[in-house]
Amino acid sequence: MAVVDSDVARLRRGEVDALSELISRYQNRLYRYLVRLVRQPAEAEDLFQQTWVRVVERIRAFDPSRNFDAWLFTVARNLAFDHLRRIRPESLDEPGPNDFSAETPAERLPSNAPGAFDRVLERERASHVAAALTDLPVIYREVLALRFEEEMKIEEIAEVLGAPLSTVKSRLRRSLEQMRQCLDSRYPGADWQ
Amino acid sequence: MNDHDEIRALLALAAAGALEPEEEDRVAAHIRSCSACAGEAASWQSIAGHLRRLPTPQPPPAVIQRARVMAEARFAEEAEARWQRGVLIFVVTFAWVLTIVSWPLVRLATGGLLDLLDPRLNQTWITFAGFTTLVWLTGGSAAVLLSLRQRRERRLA
Amino acid sequence: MSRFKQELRVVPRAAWIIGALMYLGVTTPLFLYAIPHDPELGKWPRLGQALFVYGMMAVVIPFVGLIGYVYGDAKRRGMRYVMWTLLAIFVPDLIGVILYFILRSPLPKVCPGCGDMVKSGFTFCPKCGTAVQPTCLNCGRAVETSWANCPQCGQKLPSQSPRAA
Repeated sequence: MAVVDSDVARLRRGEVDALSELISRYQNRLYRYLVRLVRQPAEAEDLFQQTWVRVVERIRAFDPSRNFDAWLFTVARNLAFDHLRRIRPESLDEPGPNDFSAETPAERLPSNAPGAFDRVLERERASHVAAALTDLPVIYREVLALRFEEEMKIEEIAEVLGAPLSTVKSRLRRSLEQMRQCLDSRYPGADWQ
Repeated sequence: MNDHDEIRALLALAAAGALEPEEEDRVAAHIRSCSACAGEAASWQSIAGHLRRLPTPQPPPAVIQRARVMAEARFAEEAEARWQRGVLIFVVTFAWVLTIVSWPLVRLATGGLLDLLDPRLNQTWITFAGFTTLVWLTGGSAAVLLSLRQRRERRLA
Repeated sequence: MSRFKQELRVVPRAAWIIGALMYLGVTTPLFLYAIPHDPELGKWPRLGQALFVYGMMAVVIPFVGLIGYVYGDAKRRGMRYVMWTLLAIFVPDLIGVILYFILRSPLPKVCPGCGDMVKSGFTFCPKCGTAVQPTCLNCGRAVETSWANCPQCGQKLPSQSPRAA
């Protein structure tokens, strides 16, 4: 993180070339996160640009002792959610306990066929997961993206979401459960081993 | 095994690596002996694995370039605004310094002049009042005239 | 180079020379003649008198520098620099200078076609006609890239995203 910190310090001091270095360092991760949130690449591109302008506007108010990653993703998140609220007022809240018929984990039949992986099946499963991801509500997509793609620690995710650790964990669990449910309903009978 | 349910509830988070160490140990200990739960855990691990290996969408270079250009333009705007503010503060402060400094110097210069006209006129407060009034009058009228001119030009443009 | 030093170069060298001459030209008679004859200041020690005169008159240098800056800056921005310089000099309390900083035009741009300097406010280069600002396709007036419609004629502006829908 030391290199990022020095870039941030340079940017706050007014050195404009620190900006392009920061952008190159974060471009892929930031874009990927935005695509997961808004699902449309064209909108993600606009938000990508807006995020960096907002970073420039607020960098002097940023406390350098804080985690820059979490702050950057928070800025992007706020812009993305504002955008979603305006364009597609899909439900941005977490689904309630009765919103879908969730089986409790114990009710699910344990799979007992420890089959070996087939390469074709593996690719198929990967695309199934990717497709199922887009079906999930944005709140769930987000936490899965942050945990598995960005590989953020739970504490970092809590900072980005502005939520307590327990909320992050329960949201993570519920998003995985709904992901699994979605996979089962889209591809019934698929073997998930 | 009535902690099946408890363990099952933890398996999803286990695949996400989000459990506390004690919980992880409990889960590991349980699935060593329970093949059903072990199977469940493997399913979750598989899904987690796929999530970790999702293909990363790449931003097109044109998008990155444009983001950089706009952010740099905004950066320059902000720097310019900050500089402008600094200049104005400096000039206003310096104007006060000039006024205060010029007071004794004007007094030095005009003390002799007022003495020539009438010694009784050589009072500090008269000089001060005259000086200040002159300054405010000329400055004020210049400001008013200039703003009027500016407004006229804007309307014609 | 720091921003400050960059801006200092706008001041013509003549201004610094005039400033130095004024400084010496005013402090010397004051120090040699006016102060010793002043009822109050004449009683001060010589060093105190020297500090008073040479220290206080030092404000002349930044003052002349500011005037010089107004001259050089107004010139490079294509403004009426004679008028602004006179205002800066003669309006008391630096009000002329303050007004200048508030009202000054933006810096001219370099024309991408012929490399000449184009005054701010112009949409096309007077020499070669190349557009120096993004323009509306319908009426040709200047627009900004973030706008959705032209404010002069109402035409919808093309989307800037590389992926047009």
